[in-house]
Amino acid sequence: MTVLDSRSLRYVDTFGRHFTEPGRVRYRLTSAAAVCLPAEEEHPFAIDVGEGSGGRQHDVVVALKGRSLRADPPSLKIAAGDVVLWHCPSASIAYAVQGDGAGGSFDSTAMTAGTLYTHAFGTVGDFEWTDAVRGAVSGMVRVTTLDGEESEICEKWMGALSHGALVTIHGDRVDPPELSVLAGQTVFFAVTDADGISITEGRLAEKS
Amino acid sequence: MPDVVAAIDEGGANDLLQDAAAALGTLSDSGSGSLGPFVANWSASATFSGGTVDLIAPDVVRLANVRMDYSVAVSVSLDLSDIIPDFCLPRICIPTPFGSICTPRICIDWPTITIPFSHSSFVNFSADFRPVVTLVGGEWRVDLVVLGTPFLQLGPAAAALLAALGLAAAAVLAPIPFIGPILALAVAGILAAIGVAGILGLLGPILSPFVSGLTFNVFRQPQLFEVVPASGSDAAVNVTLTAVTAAVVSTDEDELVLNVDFSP
Repeated sequence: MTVLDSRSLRYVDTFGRHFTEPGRVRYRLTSAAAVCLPAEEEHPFAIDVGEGSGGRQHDVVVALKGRSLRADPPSLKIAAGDVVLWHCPSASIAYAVQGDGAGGSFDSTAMTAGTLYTHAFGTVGDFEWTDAVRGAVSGMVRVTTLDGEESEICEKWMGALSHGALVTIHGDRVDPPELSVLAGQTVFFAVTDADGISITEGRLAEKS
Repeated sequence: MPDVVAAIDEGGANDLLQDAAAALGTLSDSGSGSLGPFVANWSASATFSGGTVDLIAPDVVRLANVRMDYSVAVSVSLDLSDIIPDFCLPRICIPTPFGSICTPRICIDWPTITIPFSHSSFVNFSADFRPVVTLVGGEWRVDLVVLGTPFLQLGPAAAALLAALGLAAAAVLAPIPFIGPILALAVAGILAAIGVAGILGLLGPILSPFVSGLTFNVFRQPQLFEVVPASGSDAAVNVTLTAVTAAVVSTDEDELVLNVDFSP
């Protein structure tokens, strides 16, 4: 499954948080199906945000150990202004990231200012996305393929895969509201202002 | 000297065989077998028609150009990772409102897929049969039983089935995320892994049993049966067929001859 839905992060997705306030942040990783259930272990992972100029990225790998989702590394020391990016390489896991602390709470299922969701689009088609939480924003990603000689396409495609596209969401403004990418390319959705939104494929939002 | 002698010439035997083939109906079977390096599940059905009889003394009924119409449905499951090399999306870095952000290298997990494909056609074959007489469950039967395993020319069928596999594979692969321009290579990889030899390796064992055990029933009669007088007040009598033999006899013309002995 490689659906476009920030509420259920998959191996072709990442979720990021820009930490601007010094202090301690604790977070949990939960199965996407259990976001509203009480956690067995309340926010077991920690991020200590220190003073600093920031600008660095810290990657956290999500993995299933036993019956629990674990973060590697489980604790981080970063500087204010740094970004933490979560990613799970396993195709069988759907998860969410929820945290609280200095700078306020954050939640991949209801993204607020300073959060980021990336999704690699695997198949061709028009992907109309919407905010499944409040219906505040929406947009369109048109995913196309290349035409031409097979060998030439392959080379061009491989080259294109290392380029991403950015969508910025500020309040009810989406920039750009519509964009076109090639199958296999990644779109970054950066939320600079929002009350808690999701980036969800339209057909899934209708079922929510 | 037998009590009853019944003989039919090659023309009559032709009619008899057509009726016997029609009475045989549709034969069907299912199972699993090797399709190149993979395992496939299959189901197949076959019907028989046509053919020209040549009676050869003392006991061979040669059938030329018998037509076997068949349908084969195959379903093969394969792990795409065995066909397509590992593939990873590269690390992508772009400037965002939060600074330059890079995604990790994301490796694609190719799924196991199931490709269903089918093919219907016919094949002609020739075979020698031998009359076999049996008394089973109080019934005399004369069957023509095939000798050996007739050769089936399955080359064209294998090529057609491989083409059907190619089309089916493309349809199954197309919706798989990230397969993109690799799709054609993946289809080619599947076809190359199986090949005509792989199809023949599956098709032969599927279709050969339909002809290797082929039996046409040309006569059946209860051993004990009632004979009613044509007229008068005589009572009906029970007649027992004590012996039945069948052979090809060559006199002025070749005939399939049934000899029957009975007792009241």
